[in-house]
Amino acid sequence: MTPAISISHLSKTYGGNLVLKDISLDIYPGQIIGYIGPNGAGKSTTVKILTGLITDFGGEVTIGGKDLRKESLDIKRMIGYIPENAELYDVLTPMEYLMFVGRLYDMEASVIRERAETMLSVFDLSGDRDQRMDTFSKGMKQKVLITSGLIHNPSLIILDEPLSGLDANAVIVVKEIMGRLSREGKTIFYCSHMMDVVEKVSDRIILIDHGTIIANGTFEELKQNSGDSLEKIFAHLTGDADLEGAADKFVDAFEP
Amino acid sequence: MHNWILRLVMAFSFLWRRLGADPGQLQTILWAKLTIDDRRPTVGFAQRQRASNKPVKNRGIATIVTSLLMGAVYILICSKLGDTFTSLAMYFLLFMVLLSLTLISDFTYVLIDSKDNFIILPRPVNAQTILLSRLLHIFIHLGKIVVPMSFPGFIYFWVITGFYGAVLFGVAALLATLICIFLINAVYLVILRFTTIERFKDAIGSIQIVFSVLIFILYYFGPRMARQMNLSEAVLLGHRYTYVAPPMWLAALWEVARHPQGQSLTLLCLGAAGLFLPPLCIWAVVRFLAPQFDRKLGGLGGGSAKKVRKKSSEGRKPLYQVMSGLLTRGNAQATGFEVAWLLSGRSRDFKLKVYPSFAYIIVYFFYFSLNMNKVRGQSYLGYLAGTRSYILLIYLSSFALITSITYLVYSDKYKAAWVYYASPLKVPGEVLMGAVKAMMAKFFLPFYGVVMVFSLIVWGPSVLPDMLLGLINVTWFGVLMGFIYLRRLPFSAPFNVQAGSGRFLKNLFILGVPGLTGLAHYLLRKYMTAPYALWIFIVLALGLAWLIYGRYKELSWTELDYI
Repeated sequence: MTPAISISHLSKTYGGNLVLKDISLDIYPGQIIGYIGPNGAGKSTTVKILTGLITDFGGEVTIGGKDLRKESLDIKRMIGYIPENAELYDVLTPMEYLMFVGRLYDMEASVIRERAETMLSVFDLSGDRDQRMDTFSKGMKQKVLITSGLIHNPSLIILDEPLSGLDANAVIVVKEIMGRLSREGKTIFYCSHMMDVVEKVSDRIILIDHGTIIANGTFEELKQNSGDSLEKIFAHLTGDADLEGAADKFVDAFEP
Repeated sequence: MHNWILRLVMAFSFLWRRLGADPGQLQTILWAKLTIDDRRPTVGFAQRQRASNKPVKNRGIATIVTSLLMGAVYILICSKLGDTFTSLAMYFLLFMVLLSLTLISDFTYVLIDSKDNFIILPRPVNAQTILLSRLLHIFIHLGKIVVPMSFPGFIYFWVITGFYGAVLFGVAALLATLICIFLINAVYLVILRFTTIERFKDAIGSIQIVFSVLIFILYYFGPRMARQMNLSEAVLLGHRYTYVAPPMWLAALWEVARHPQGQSLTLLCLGAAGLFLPPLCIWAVVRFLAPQFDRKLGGLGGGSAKKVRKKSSEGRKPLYQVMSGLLTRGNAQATGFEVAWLLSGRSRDFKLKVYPSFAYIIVYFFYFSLNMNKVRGQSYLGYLAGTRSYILLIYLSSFALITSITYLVYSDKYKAAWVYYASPLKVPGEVLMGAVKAMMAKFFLPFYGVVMVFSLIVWGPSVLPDMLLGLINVTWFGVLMGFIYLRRLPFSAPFNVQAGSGRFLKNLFILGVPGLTGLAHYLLRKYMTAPYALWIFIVLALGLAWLIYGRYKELSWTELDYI
C-alpha cells in the first residue's frame, strides 16, 4: 500500500540548532497517528513542515504520492489543518469565515453553506453562525476552527491540540468524528499532550524527543517494555522517570 | 461598498491570471481583508468605538468622508499661497505627510498581522496570489484615502486651469501615492534590518507618537509661522535645498506638462524626476522591498518573543524595585507600584496615549506664553523672566500625571487582573496608592525635574518655594484624580468599559482643579508678598495631601468599580 505520508531523513535547523534530526516514517491511509513528545521536541516543527508553513527543510516528504517541495499546492488541497492556537479573522462571523475558507478550496458557495450549517449545528453553533466571532469564547472559536479545517473533506487531517477549550460533549463529538473519518480511509495526524486521549484514539503512536523519533508503534507494542499507560511510557522514554521526586522537591520548597 | 471595488479589481482578472495568481482565490482573500478593514476600529477612536459596545462597520465610508474633508482643507490652505507652483508643492507636501501618517498608524498593524501565516498559508493558495492580494489590499486602502482627498483639488484646478490641469493634478496625486508607498516600505525594511518584528511594532508606535506631536505643534504654531513667513508671497522655486523633496518634482511635472515650452532646465529636471522616479520606486517595491518584507514577516509565529532586559545576577535591584522600596509601605503598595511601573512601560496602547502628553505640555506652555504681550525687540527668555509663567508650567506639568493615571486602568489583557480578586488582598486602596506613586515617580517627577531646571535657569532660585508648593499641590490632586479615575485596579478594565454618568463633570474636574489651583497660586504670589505666606500654604498643602493620601489608600473593595 502506498503511504499517505512518507517522510525520509527530515531535518530542520533553527539558528544553528538542529530541531529535527533525520526523521523517517511512513503513515498509511486510514491510520490515526498520535504524535507526542515533550515541549520543544519538534512536534510543531514537523507539523509546520507538513502543512507548508515551513518550506526550508532537509530530507524528502511526500504526501499522497506527491513531493512536498514540488507539488505543495496539490498537497495543501488534500490537507485539513487545525492549529493549536485559534487564529481566526474574528471580526467575521462563522458563516463568513467558513465561506472564505471554502472558497480558497474552490468549493461552490451552496456546498459550503450547506456543509457549514450542518457542521455548525453539530457543535451547537447554529444560533451563532451570524455573530461576529470576537465575542466568542475560546471553545466556540475552536469549534469553528475545527469546522474550517474539515469543511473541504480533506484526505489528510493534521490536528494540533484540537480539543483545547472544548467542553466535554464537544470532546466526545470530535473523538467520534476522528474515528469515523479514519474508518472512511482518511489519515489523521494528531498532536497532543493529552495522553489518555492519544492512547485511546491512536492506531499508532510516534514519540519524538529532541528532534528524534524514540518510539514508533501501537500502544500495545510500546506497553511491553515501558509501562502500562501512555503517561508512564512517555515518562520512561523521555528520561523524566523521577517525576515523583520532582514533585517532592517542589512541595519541599515550602519548608523553611 | 467593497462589492463594487471588488468588481472593479476583478475586471482585470486577465492581468492577475497573467501574473500567476488565481483570480477566484484573489477575490476571496480581498473580500475577507476589506470586510475586516471595515470592521476594525480606527486608531485614535478605538477607545470610543469600543466604549459604545456597537460593532464597527462601514469604517470605509468614514475614511472616505474624512479624506474628502482633509483634501478640501488642504486645497483651501494652499490656494492662498504664493504662486501655483508653490501652492502645488505645499499641497503635495501635506498630502504625502497625511497619507504616510495614515498608512503608518492605520495600516501597519494590518501589514504585519501574522494571522495570514496560519490562515492562508496552509491553504492551496500560491505565492503570487498571496503577494498580489497584499499589494492590491494596500492599493485599495490607499485608493479610499487618495481619491477622495484629491477630489477637491481636482475640482479646484479644473475651475482655475481647465480640465487638462485637473487631469494633470490627478496624475500627480497618483505619483505622490507611489512615492509614499516606496518611502514607507523602505523605512520599514530599514527598521526590520536592525530589529525584530516585536520591536518593529514598538518603533512604529514611536513614529506614531512623534507624528501626533508634530501635528499638534503644527496645529498650534502653524498659523503663527505662516503669518511670520508671509506665505502668501512665498515662492519655493529658486530655493535649491527644496529640490530633493518629491512635492517639488510633482509641482514641476504639473507646470512642465501644462506649459512644456520655454521652461527652465531646473524645472524640466524636476519634472522628469516627478515622472520617472515614482514608477521606478514602485517597481523597486514590487521587485525587492515587498518580497523582503514578506520574508521577514514569514518569521512570525515563533522565536520573535520580546526579551526583557536581563536583570543582574549579582543581587543588584532594578530601579523600579529600588524606587518601590523607597516610596511604598507594605507589600500591597509595593505590588501596585511595581506592576504599574512595569506594565506602563510595556503596554503599547498606554505609551501611545501617555507619551505624547509630555510634548503637548511643552507646546501648550510655549503657545500660551508666546501669546502673551511681549516687548518688541526683547528675547523670549528675557521676556519670560519678567513674568510668572513658571506657575503655568508647574500646573501644566500635572497633565503628565493626570494622563498616566487616567489610562492606568485599561488593558487589552485586563482578564489577567483576576489574580487581584483571587488573592487575599484586604485593602485594594494600598495597591492603588502604589500605582499612583509609580506614575508620579516614573512619569511626573522626571518631567518636573526638567521643568525645575528650566525654571531655575530662567527665573533663578527665588522660584524654588513655588516649585515645592507646585509639587505638593500636584501630589494631592494626583491622588484626587485617583479617587475619580482609578477606582479599578491597574490594567483591569477593557477599553469598552462604559464611562457611566457624570463623565462631563469628571472631565471638568480634571481640567478645573489644576487650573484653579494654578490661579490661586498665581494670585498668592501676586498679592501676598510676605516671604512666609508661601510657606504657610506649603504646610497647608502638605496637610491636605496627607489627608487625601490617607483616605485613598483605605479604599475598600466595596468602593471600587467593577466591570
